Amino acid sequence: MHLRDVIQPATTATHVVGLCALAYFASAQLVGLSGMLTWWAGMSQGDAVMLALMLGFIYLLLLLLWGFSRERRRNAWLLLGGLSLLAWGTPLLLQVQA
Amino acid sequence: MGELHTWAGVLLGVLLFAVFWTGSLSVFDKEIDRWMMPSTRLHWDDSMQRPSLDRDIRPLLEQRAANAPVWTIILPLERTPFLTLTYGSEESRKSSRDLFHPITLEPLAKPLTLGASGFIYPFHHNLTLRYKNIGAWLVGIAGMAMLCLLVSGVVIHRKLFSEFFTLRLHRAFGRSTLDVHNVAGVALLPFHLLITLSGLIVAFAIYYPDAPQHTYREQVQSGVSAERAFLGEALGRIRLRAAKEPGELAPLEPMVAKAEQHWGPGSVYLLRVNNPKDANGNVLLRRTSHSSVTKDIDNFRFANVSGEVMGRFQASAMVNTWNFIAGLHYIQFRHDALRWLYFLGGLGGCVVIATGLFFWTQARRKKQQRHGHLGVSLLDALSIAGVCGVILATLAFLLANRCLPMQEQLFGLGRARVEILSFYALWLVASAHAVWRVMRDQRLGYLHAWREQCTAIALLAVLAVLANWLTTGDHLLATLRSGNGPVAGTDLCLLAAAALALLAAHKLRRRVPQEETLEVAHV
Amino acid sequence: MSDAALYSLLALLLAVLGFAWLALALPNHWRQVHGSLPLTAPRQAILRSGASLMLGLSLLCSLAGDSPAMAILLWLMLLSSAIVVVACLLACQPRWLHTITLLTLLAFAGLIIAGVVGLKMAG
Repeated sequence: MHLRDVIQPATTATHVVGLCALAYFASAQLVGLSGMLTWWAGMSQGDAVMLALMLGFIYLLLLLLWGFSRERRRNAWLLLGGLSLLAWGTPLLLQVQA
Repeated sequence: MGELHTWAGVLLGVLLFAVFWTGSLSVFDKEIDRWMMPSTRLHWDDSMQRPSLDRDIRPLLEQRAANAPVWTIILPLERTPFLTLTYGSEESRKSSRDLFHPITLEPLAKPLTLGASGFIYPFHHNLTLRYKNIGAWLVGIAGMAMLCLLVSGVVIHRKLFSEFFTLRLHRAFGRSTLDVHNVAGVALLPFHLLITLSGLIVAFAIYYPDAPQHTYREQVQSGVSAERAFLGEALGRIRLRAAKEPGELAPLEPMVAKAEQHWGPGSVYLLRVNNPKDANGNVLLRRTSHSSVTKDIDNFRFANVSGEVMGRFQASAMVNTWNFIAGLHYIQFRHDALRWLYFLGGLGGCVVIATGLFFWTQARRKKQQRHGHLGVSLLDALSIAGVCGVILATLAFLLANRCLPMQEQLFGLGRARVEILSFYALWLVASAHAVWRVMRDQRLGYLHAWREQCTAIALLAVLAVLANWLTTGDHLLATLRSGNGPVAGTDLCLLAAAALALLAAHKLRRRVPQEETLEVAHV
Repeated sequence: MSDAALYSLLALLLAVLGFAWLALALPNHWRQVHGSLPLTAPRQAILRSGASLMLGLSLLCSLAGDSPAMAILLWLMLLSSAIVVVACLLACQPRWLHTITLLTLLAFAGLIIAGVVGLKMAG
């Protein structure tokens, strides 16, 4: 058994589990952000959150399918990470401004 | 690399099978409850006269739970043909529940079981692992994985759609297994997509708990929990504080009458009296939604003392969209044909997953032959434990329900708990049997294990039908004649399961290759 | 049998018919049922459009017997059942597919004629 036989599955496992977790985190941030945006656009608070929640699983599905279909693993991490940061940061920025 | 992929697939497949299996049974959970709780094998339909809330039910509550903080009254319905009274207690969060005959209001014998609605249904959505919602998360991950598999499967296997009627049943077992997997998978694609997505959406509170944070930030800033505010606004779930001053509860019938002016006669089925003896207590009324897919969450709230309407909650169109999606998943509305089709669809999903598991391990077996058989054998054992094991466990649960003596405590544990232990115990035994078989014969042991466990399934299913007959006297001919749908249906399904299991065992016997018989001859 | 049950049964039969024709429009299955008879493009077109018609009528039957949401849900489940039925027929008794298709067409024609006659007599 080569070291390679241990490292490769380990790195793949880390990539799979990690990317899933990142995609979930990104979807959760998007749920928070989209709820806030639809509320600002005029929807009631309850409706805005409800809509965002129902869409959340669609976001997650799309992010997972997109993330795992990238040619280079690195791109998936960068783009999902960037999206998460954007979705997490935007509500905070908007709240500070308002 | 491939090993990792294989193991992940098998583990996920086993988890998905358990979820689909218990989910299919949950479609008929109330009917299986009638089988498991013989004292509730009663009849109720809409034409019958409901018990009077003030004259009949109030005294029962005063007698049993005068000081409870919550009274819940669930009026008799077709699928739950008895009166249910639940009372919380001051000391513990646990509530106790008593069942009463819907007409005579005699207390029914305690069921001493959780039944399908108390064990199999919760297992379906959270594996009964409530600590930190770990079970619900596992189910959620499996559900999400299923969605990804369905969507990517369609994209990857686009060409299959030109051949999707192909069922080559008389060819090699591997080929026919794949064909069954493909046909069932394609046929049930819309159903599986609907069920998986709706199942996830229903449980949003577990998977996206912080969703209301940013939208409800005004409330958060003034010290109110965002989640509480959201649940109150969107779902009408509000909790009012007790005044800690005594108050006399007004008659309940006028409250029901007022609500039914808006909702229609006979529509109220649940009353929840919060803080019955408090001046600030309130009575919550909910109505049935038999004839719509959308699960109805509207409520009327009445003040305890004055009996006046305190508030009326009506879900918005957006929330009713969620209720529609939830209703799609829960299928609590009245439609016998759809209920049976959901049940068969769920079992079809089990077939898709089981054939998928079988085919997956078969394909890996060919690849991993040079690395030795141990890994493959354990994968086989895992598949067998996952498929046959959980079915056997369910049958053990049903058998224990019929065979255990009707005492509150058995071996120092509650009877309901012993039934659940039987479930897990037989699952463990089946797993051990599978491991033993594959270790003993690394080449063909898995076939023997499948065959023996299928035979065991047939045996236990028939024993369960017999046990029902011996312990309740409601044998199949009697229940068919008297029109007792739930019990007859459960018995018939058990017999059908036994027949299918025997067929499977028979087919598996013929699959054991000739070499095995030759080996025996030489010895 | 109640009205709704009748409509559901009719919807199922139409769905089976629709998928039977769809299956026959595929070269593999055409060969299974009709042997060496060629599957020409016009034949395929007829089978496919006929199948769409049957499936559409199946949906209408469902809608006649239930509220819209339940009817569509029921129709989707009936489609799933019909696919399985047709696949099983093709696997076990391909000839039956041919017979059933003809018989159902005859029954269908009979129903239409009966319906027209009934309307004429009532109106």
